Amino acid sequence: MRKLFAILGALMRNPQGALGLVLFLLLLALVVLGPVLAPADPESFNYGARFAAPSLEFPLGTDWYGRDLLSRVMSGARSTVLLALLATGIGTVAGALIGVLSGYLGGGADEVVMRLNDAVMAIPGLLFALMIIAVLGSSSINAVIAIGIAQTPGMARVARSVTLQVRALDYVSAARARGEPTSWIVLAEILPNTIAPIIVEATIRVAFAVMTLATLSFLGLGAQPPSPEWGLMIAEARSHLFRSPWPIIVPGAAIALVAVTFNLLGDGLRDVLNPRSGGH
Amino acid sequence: MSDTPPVLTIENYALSYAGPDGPIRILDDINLTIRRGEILGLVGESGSAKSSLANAIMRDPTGKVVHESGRILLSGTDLTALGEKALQKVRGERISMVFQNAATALDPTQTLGDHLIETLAQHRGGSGLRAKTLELLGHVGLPDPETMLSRYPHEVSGGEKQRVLLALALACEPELIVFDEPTSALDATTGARLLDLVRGLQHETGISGLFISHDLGTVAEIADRIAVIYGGRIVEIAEPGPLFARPRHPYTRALLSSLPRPSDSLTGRRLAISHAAPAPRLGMPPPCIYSASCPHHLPELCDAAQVRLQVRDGRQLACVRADAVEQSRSEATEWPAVTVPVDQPLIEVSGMDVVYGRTSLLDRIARRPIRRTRALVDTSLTLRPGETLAIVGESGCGKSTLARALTGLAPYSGTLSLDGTTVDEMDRAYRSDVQIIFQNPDSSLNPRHTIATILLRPLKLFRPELSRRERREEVTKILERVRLPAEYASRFPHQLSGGEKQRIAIARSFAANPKVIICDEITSGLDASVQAAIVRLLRDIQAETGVALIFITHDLGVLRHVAHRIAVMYLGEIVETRDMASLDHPPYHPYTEALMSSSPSIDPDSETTRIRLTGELPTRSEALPGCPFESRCPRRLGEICKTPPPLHDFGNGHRILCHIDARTLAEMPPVWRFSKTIMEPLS
Amino acid sequence: MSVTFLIRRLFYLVLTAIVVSMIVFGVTQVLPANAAQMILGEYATEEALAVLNARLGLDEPAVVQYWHWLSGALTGDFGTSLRTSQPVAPVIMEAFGRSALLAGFSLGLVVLISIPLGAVAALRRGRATDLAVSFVSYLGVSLPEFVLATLLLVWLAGPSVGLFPASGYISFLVDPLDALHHIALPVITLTIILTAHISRMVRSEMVDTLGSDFVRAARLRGLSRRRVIVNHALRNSLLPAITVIALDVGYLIGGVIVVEEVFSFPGLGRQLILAIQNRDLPMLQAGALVMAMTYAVANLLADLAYAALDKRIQFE
Repeated sequence: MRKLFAILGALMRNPQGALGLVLFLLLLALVVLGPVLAPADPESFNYGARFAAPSLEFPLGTDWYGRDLLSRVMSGARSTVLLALLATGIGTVAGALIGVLSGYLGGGADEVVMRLNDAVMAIPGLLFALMIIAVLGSSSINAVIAIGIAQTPGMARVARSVTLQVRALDYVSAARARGEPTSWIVLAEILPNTIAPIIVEATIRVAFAVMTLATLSFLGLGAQPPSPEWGLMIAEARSHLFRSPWPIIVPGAAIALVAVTFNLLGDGLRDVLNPRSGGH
Repeated sequence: MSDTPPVLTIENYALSYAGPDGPIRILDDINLTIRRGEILGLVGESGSAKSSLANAIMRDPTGKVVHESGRILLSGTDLTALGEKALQKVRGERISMVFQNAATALDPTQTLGDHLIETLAQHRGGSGLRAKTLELLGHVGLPDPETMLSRYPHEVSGGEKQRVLLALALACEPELIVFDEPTSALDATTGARLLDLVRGLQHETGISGLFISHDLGTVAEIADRIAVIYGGRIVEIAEPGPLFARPRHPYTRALLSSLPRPSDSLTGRRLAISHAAPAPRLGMPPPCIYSASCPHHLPELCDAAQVRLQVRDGRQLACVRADAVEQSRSEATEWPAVTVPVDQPLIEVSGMDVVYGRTSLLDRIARRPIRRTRALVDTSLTLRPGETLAIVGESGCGKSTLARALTGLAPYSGTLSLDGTTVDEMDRAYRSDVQIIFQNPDSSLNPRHTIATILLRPLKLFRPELSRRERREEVTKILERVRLPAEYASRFPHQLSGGEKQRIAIARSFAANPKVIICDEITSGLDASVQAAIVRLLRDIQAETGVALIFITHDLGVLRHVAHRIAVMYLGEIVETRDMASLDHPPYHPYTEALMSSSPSIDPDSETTRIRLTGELPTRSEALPGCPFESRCPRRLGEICKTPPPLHDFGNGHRILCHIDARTLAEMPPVWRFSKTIMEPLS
Repeated sequence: MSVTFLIRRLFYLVLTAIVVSMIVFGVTQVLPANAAQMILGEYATEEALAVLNARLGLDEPAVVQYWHWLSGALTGDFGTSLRTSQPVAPVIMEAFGRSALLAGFSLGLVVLISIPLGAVAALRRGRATDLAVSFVSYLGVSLPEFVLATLLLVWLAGPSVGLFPASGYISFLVDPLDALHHIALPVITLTIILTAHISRMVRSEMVDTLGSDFVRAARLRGLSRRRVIVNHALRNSLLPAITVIALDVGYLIGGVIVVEEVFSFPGLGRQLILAIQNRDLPMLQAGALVMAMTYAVANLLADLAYAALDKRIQFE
């Protein structure tokens, strides 16, 4: 716990980290309280105020049904952010497990696993996700699974390279020379020292997950109407392209802001957790 | 020499960098001169700011400068007053630098020749650059300059890279060359050859230089005068002879008394453990920089005014109590005697082989010949209970592989027995009896574990009979034994200093009450004073517990203070085994002779024979039928050396693997010749 | 570059191709609705399904089907589209050509813009130029292609500005100028996004190289600033940049899919989305395989280029 506060403290002294952390906390508040805080009902139509520009009544304008964009974006935050975290969680846990184990075992097993992993990585992320969606069908949760699976090989590669670095260190040799059981070596000696880089990588990948999730919804392969999912909002706005830019700008900015948040947080964590770049 | 004009003059130079808690004083009150054709040595321990002085002269600070004052004059030009443009003309042309790490100081994408041509083109321009480059490469003793020209840095050895750096520094015949630890990353025999080269060049062309090193022995080999730096201030400047024979400054005295000398075996001199703390860097500088650590500190005298360098008895000294200091006795204490009971062997290794190299899937499919390295070849040795066997050799000789094989970290073939029983698998009992300490405590202590966790692991594994409370108590006892307070148990490794971390690593190895501890280069990378303390600690524990040590090192000086016997390794084989007591007398294996004579020393009472190796260490890939040292041996006999050499036995456990006949070996001149003053009482 | 290195890389490419083809085929095997059902509709009789299954070879074991599909694919026969009943290969080939044009155009621009941009930012580290470049590229990597594409569409193709057409494709063989006009918006979108990615990478590589020992050594030899930057810093930063650019080709492929959808550009990405929406198996398989192999080949080329330029690699 003290360690966590130490990391947060260090993060606040790092410009990128501090900004990322503040944005992240705001986002967290939005995820928990978003629908409560929303000034209006995100689903209520106001035919008198269609395509309204930002005003006091509608701080970020309205869409083609006159729905309040601010309220829609706020209530969409929960699903977008939580689903992105879930997708990254799936990819990180699966990837880290494969990577750490493969890296620790080494030898022939490692070679086979990593060759296969590399081959799978030859399929571009979005394409891989699209193929999985094609199998599972279009829905939010399927999009999450697809992104999680698509992120796994990349995460496995990162986890393995970190594991290889740690495995070569003398404290692992010392543990092996002592005759420690494999479970102790992997869980107590190696894993705690690979966690930091994996967390950094995972944080940055949340940004990717947010963007990919929105992209899939935009392509009609993720969330389905009338969900206030941000990508879907933009897809729907395309039918009314040149009437008002606000239905596109508002969810677009929301996606970018969330992605920026996790990118900043990831970069900040990298500086703070990495003893090499944190030193100077 | 004092009448030649100065090349470099530093006047009242001070430098501070920005730090998290205010300005950090890096250098303070620096005054020195280097005359034409003179090499000034600059010696200091880690944290003494010796490299910062080099950077200051090159006008390349590594921190954010918050304060700088004083002048740095290069033949009259004040470097501190020059702008970027003017500096660019000076660098490389009038002043140049040889870096410590040749592996990273050369651009990996450029040929060695291009490095030189580019530098010459910048400062000299014109034609004939290629010819000049070839000349320079030949000048620094590189064989076949023509081939070297088109080689890339990764294609040549470390010693060759360092020579290229030297050629780059010499290219425009600068007025001053700054050498920043140029031999520290090299093996002893390679470093010795580089020093010879620099000395030769100096005799030929009269270069002037500032030679920085943490190793007094290295500096003694090359420097006309030596400056000792502590905490960013120079405390003493003198010629090597007088400095070593009669150090005046308390810090110099402490430093010298913790350094081993070849004559120690004869004189029975013991290493002193200095207690010099890191110098204060924040706030107002104390009048005397050493006052906080000085045993002779008298506030009313020493703190009266700023203690500056002053000329006294032909040397410069920053101490107001030098005469009183001289009266005091050396603080070296008696070391515990360790008696070796001649007993049956504790560990017996015979015919041990270790082969590295893995076949990849593709190699197997393509049925390619497998590239493997024979790291350990037919090695046999015995270790008696309670004795210390030192294993010496340069990097790549297989000494660490031996340590890894003995602790189950590298698979081997051959037989190994402990206490008379053959070890078939490394079971818990064996691992409990045979422990290992690694070179670098930064890497051998898990940064995520507390000291308590680190010390509790071996107790849990090897002494399961202890209760939880007993284990806790045992941790306190172990810490006490390595002279660390019990509170350290709750700390993390990064909260400890380098020497303290190594003590924890030692404590961990003793926790299981082992019979043998393998120390793999555990003192390299530590300052001399810390090294002496660690060696002393090992001796104390050995005297208490009777544990046997295998002490692996490339540092020959410290051997005399730890080892009972030594084994010399070259290219995976033990070429000589002998008693420590007989080290001063022949016979030697030719490699032992070359290795011992490459070790620089500061001993005024001994003189070391100069034998240098040529060529580079080969990799041992396929079976090498003959003598491993055949390709570089200065005493090579001829074709016969390509056949397996016989093992000469000179009695008392002294064995040499060599084709040269026993009589010739016995008639070799000794490596060290000792002065009459210490030889006389003996005769 | 040694021959063994070349052989090894080619071996990996073949291995990748096999794994990718198995995944592409395998994924479509577990689709809930099978092809016969797709063609005949929801209310087809059991007999009719069985007959069609037999005719399409769908009643055979998966391994046999895979072998048929793979051997067909190797000879350029990807089967018939379930949606249009036309052969897949010519459609894919044509779409691939258009997408390649789009991607190639963008990649060329990206390399021209991002390398100098990243290098300049690194050289002016911490100053206004660097901060501006860093800020914009941060935004760029956080903006999904479809958002930028849609915004550019609204702005530049909208009724008020109307600089470019909102959609469509004209062949360069028909009218080069009009073709350029039509391809401009997709290219601009992809270029902006990828420039953000790559200039960030180039900047961080360059910052690392500028801090390296050999650059310091070069500076302290009195080499001119220009020489130090061009001969040492830039050269050593560009090598890793090659790998980064190749890896970003995967990102580019994702971008192409999205951008083609936004601008109704009839390329491979649009065919792929159509195939997914219509469960057009042969089209989906062919599109995915071609895209994945393009990426694999791009990475191979990058590795070879790296090996040719970096003399150390052959000794790895």
